[in-house]
Amino acid sequence: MQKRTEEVKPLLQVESLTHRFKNGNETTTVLQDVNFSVARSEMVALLGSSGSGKSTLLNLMAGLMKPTEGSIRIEGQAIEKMSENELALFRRSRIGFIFQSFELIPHLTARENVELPLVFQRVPARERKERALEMLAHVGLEGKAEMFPSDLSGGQQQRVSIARALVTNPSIVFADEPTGNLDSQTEAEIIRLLVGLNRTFDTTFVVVTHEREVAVNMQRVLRLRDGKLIDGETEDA
Amino acid sequence: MRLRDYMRLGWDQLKRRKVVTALCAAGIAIGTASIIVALSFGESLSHYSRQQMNQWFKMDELTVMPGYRTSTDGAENRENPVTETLLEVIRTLPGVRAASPYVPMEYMTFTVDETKRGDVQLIATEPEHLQAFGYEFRQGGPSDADNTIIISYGVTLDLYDERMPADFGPGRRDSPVAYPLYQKTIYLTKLITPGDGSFKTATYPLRVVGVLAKPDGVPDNRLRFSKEAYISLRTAEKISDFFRAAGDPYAPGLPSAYNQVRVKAADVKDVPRLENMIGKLDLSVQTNLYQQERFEKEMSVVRLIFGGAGLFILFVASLTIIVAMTMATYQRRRQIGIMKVLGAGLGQIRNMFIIESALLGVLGGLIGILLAYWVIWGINAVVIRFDGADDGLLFISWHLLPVGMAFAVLTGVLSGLYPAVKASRTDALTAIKRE
Repeated sequence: MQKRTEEVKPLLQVESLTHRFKNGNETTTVLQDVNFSVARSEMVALLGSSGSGKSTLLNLMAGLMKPTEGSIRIEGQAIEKMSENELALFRRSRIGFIFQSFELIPHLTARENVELPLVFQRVPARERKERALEMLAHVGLEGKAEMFPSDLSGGQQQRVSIARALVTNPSIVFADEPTGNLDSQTEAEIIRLLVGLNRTFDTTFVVVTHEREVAVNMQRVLRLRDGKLIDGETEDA
Repeated sequence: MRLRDYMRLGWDQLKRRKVVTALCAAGIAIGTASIIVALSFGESLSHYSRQQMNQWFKMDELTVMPGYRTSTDGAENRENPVTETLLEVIRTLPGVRAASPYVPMEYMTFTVDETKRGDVQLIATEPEHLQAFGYEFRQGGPSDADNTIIISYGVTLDLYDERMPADFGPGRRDSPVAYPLYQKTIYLTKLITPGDGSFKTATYPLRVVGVLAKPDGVPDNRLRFSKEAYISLRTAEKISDFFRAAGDPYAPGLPSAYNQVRVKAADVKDVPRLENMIGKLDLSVQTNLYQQERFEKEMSVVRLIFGGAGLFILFVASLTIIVAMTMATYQRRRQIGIMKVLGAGLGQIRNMFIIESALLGVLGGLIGILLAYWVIWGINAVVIRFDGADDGLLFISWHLLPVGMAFAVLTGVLSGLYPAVKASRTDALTAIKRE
């Protein structure tokens, strides 16, 4: 299945993105003049080896860092110009985030973890519960809603994390090595789940990975090496 | 975030960190209890002392005496006696509970049962108003009949008995024993010396129709000097007439105007106003309010000392909260980072910590209130055990509970401010990075 980015208005637009770190007197360029865009409903892999700059790129796109140069637009809004509070509001409503280590709050149940972003949105308790249970059902965790993270397997915890990222119905979901802590069988299940959710909800996914097996399941792969996009710009999977 | 969500998340955190929560709550509880106990100490002592002062100084009473009236041309000052008319005017003033003439007469000896001898300080008044002046009867009560007397408890003590051996008690007086005088006839006895060198004894019988209750908390050995006995104005006149007829040239007659009138106010607060109003009748008025002013000054110092001690303890407790909550922000940095990535704003993170420390304050405050009750109960138990008092001296007023609670919550909130701001400034990316 292929989608051509030029045919639809881009949801995410990265332009002339350069990011440098200062380490004492030394300046390291982590990303250099990166340009790409992601269309709505697209599922893109950001593939690169360790130190290629892919995690930095993800953090910049999620508004967790400010770029040295260039701009990142999500739904036309330049996130590098937003204040911390504006970013918090933007993330709350438009961005979902899936962590490599799941990052669930240990003393909250699976349902309560999924409800958390809705809590920040001031969604009433009953509606929160309904939406969280519905999302947990989508990720195949019916009957596990009241279990604590410590009682769930790694794959199940990642499913909770995915449900949490999607429960606010975000425009875009950033996944940072979502299968990095899972065995190969669970990895395949999680990838299948993400692909299925992309189709079900038309949610845009940007998945950072260093594994080619994960990347090939995405609609498009962006390769990063030494802070630059290689192979022209993109490669269709 | 809604308040309920803040509270639920805060409470979850407190439950998770039981030891830290217990230590912080204990600190606040001790501080709160100290403040409540300190204020209760001040209030209880104030209440007790006011009771004692009222008992001894009659704070709610005014003494009215003749004053001076300037004539219309301002030329002369004439004495303005307390007449029956003026007494009636005083009785109608708002805030007056009772007003009675109070005419101290002679200090006289009496005999009873032929063998016992005692002393009385006769006071001519209106015995039917004694209860309105706060007197309670141990036995009997006022009577309309003439030649009746109401004696204070002290009169029943310390009676002389000539049959007793010389070494019995202080001068043959059975001081520690209250002699039963109720419904007995006592004989006022006076040695009459007409002035011609002769002398004779005259006695006047009075029936004891009432014995006043002994004041609370005053031992008998102090009351034995209190010999007041109350008779009606008519009986007083009869006694005077009798002794004058018997040849006593010094027996005073009752004046048509009263030397002294006692006024009982409905409340101590009414006293200054009544003093002012009665003063306008050109009468001289005395009160013991200056005693109260002096006492209030002393009590404010006591309250200040106790309250200061409580505040100091709360301050120390607040330091423990600041330390605990700051530690908590470090321990929960990762969690704060995740919440920020999930969309929590600066204000939301800050409020989460403030609500959490406020809950800690509420918890500490509730425990502190219980603790304060235990401390007060314990002190009262010790006082009752060693002092033999019927009731405890200390009490906690209801209005002190919200004060203590407010201090506890305020301590929690103020102590939580710095950690809350620190938590809200946590950099999300740094927090979620794994080593």
